[in-house]
Amino acid sequence: MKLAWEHYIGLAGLVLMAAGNAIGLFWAPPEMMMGDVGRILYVHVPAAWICMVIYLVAFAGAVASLATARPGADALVESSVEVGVLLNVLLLVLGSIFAKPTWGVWWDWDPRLTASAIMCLTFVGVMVLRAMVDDVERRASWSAVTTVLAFVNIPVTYMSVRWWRSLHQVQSSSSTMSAEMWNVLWLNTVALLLVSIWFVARRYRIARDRADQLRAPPLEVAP
Amino acid sequence: MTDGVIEGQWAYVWAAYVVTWGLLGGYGLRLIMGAPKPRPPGGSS
Amino acid sequence: MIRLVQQIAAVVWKDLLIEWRGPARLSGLFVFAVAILLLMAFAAGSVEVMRKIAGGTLWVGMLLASTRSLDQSFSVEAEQGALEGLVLWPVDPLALFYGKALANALVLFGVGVALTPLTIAVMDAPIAGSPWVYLGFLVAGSAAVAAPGTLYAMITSQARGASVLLPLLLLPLVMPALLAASRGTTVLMEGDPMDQAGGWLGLLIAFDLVHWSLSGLLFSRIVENP
Repeated sequence: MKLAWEHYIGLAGLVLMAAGNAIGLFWAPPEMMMGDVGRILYVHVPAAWICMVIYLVAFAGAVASLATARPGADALVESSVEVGVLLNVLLLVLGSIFAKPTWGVWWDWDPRLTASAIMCLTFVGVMVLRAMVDDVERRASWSAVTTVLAFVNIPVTYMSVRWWRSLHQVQSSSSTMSAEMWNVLWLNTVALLLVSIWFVARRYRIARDRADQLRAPPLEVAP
Repeated sequence: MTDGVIEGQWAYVWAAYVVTWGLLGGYGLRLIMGAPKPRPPGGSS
Repeated sequence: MIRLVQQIAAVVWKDLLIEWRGPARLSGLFVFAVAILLLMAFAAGSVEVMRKIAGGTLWVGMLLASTRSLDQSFSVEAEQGALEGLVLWPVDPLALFYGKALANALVLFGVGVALTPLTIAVMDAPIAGSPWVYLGFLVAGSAAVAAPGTLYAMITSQARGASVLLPLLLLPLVMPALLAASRGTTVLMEGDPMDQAGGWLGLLIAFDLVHWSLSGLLFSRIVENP
């Protein structure tokens, strides 16, 4: 049986992620300032970066969906919004786990973390909207509209939160990372990117299949 | 490695990695389980 | 261009006339916001805390009230099938959107103006800064909620569970605007000692520009081929 292309990418991602996480956990040197807690960054930072990449894909899919009304673009919106929210939730949980030993609180109101929490809510809204609308064409154009606005809102949200926080305290986030740590970080980022591509591709196929079923319900066979 | 601070730190590190694998693995499993199967030709009864 | 302005004016007039003829809705909106004001005052406990949260409370009240009024903005039309009529008529969808958004912004601005003396009295938070800048915040803040609010109200009014869906979509989206408006209003009430109000107003206006231009485009896109 011939495997679909995304399975090779997913498998490579899984292997890379296992290797990258093991290196991050056991081989990489402890971070200079934070010590072993710095190892959380090897999963936290890739989650943040890849989350943004996947949201960018969702935005591109939404623009394409509005411009062409093709079912493929809508399926891409559905799949990438869902995977983006998954990574977003992961990012928030990891950020919270990272904040406790580093700053002593579970939630730090760090501008990036706060902005991504708001970002998560806006994209969850898109998912709920999709669940509430049955008509395929309407669902496509409405969720494309909400996805575009949710994405455009990200920089605005980040700017406003950063400004708000800067009035209270200066958040030093310049990390003291060695070249060795950057290499481990990049390895884990590539691994998560490959795994996410597999997620989106699999989810895309499911979305296409469901949309086809909604569009053309199977004919009843007379008994 | 008997320092209390270091021990405590490792608990957070492990929690982070377990959450990562749990969440991503769970979603991956769900995708595999929910993989689209070719519908048999003909309708349902 | 002139036609567009005329059509926008006609839609605004129509919507405001509906509000005027059924004042129960408008006053209900106001009472709703007042209830939130009182709730927050009780929750605050002491006068010092009240002064600190007065600006934020005003905007939370207006935002929550707006989700109620926006909901109505399209359900009134949907009940009578008037939206289809308006779209079938030779009315530019842009005019329809900007007219409704403008009417919603005006209603919200009215609630804000009515709420201001009450906030000052209940929270004991007089506006120490410039009242004109404060008025600017009311205008820009109402507009910031109204533009995406009108677009999302149009969408959710035709979906299941509209009353849950609209706040769910709108509140996270307007969070930066709410942050700017409530921080700006609060520093204004404190007399703007560090000269921050202007910056917050600028941020709010930037939000307005982005969302007023984008929402209009997206609205006409989804009305033309639903």
